[in-house]
Amino acid sequence: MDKRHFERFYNLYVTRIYKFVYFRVGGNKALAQDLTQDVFLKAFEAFDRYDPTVSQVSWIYTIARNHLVNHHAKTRPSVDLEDIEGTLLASEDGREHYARRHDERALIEAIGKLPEEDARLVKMKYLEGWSFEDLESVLEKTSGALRVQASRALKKLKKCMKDPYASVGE
Amino acid sequence: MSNVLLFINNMFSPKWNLWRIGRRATPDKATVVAMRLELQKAGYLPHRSSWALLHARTAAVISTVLAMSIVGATGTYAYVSDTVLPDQPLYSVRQGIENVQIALAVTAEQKARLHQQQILRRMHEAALMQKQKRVIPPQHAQTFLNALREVETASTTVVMTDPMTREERQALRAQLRAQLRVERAQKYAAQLKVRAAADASSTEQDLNDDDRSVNDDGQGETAAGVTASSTISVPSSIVVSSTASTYDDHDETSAASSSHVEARIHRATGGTRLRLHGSMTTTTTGRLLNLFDK
Repeated sequence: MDKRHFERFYNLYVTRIYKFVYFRVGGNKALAQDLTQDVFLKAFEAFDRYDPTVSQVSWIYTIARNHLVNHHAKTRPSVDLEDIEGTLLASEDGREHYARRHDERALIEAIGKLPEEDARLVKMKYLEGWSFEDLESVLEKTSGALRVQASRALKKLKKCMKDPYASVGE
Repeated sequence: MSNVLLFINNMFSPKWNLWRIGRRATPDKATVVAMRLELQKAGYLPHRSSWALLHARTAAVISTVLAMSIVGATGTYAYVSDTVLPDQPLYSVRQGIENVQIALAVTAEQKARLHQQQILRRMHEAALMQKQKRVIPPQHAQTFLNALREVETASTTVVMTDPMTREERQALRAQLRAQLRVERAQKYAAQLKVRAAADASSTEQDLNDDDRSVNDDGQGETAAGVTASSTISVPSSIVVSSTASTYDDHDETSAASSSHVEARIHRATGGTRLRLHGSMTTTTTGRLLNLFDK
């Protein structure tokens, strides 16, 4: 794809990629900023090879996720992709800058108890601001199916917050 | 009450709290600009000044407001200014505004009133063109004539609510008579220039005719018959009903002066006062006076 179109691409996704990174580095703003820049540097270098038939969301999401995996691999002795996906509560310095209130903390903990797919959808949709249409290509489901899944996940969240010991698994 | 609030809080809290956390995670404008400037320095993005990045939205709002103000001011000028005549580009703006006005008029009374105003405006414009000895360009002449034909073929009726006083009627009658006298004098003065000295006596006799007699032959009038200097206050109780006229599209002077505008004055009712600045044709003035005195 022509690099002249990169500016538009950057403006479109910079905020969402920043939030995606932010929640996976424990709310560390400076680190999220650096990693977001790195993601877009990689995207720029690969922009020539980008196939327009592939979803832009899926493409930049893959770059961001792989970059985060590499980052955590460098900072930790060993890392698993599942750990990265579930690092919403785990920050590098042990604090969660984004969960200031008790109910917010309870909510974050409840998300951690959801099934993996539900938790991923809730985080990307409601925390990071991706649209259902964007998530179609990332999660490989139709937007209608994602809406239903999100609605059910929210119900599970409510249930989990009411009763922290309730089972909300599949 | 507290139970209701608790219910609402429970119902919306997960989504609301997620949204609140997500909003807090959104990078502020300074962060976004800082990230972008880094990429600009490395040559990955085209150069934009930090001022432009920070104030792009404000600049867009200001420029939009400015553009709208200019459009509004231009429209107002085109609509109200006497300097906008059919040979000027802004005249089409005026016509557009008038068309919108008529399209937006709901009742027949409103439409009739607007048509009446349009007739008076067209006549006023024609008078100004002749006064300034300006010629309507062919491309605008057709537009002008079409507009004139359109408003003149429309039969209008205006329902009045404000009766005209006896003094006002007398004043109007005096004004109309004075104007007719001036117009006829000018017309015959122009004729005198080209006629032989033998015809002068008959012209003098005509000038002494009763002021109320009206020259119904509008087809032969020239520019001299159209110009006038006084301003007439015409109450809108005058119902202007127009009949379709046969225009010569290539002779705008003839077309303007041959407008057979008939007017009837409703004595019983009055209404909003319309002030006609400029002039009317001899035929029109005479008809007004004639009808007024009936």
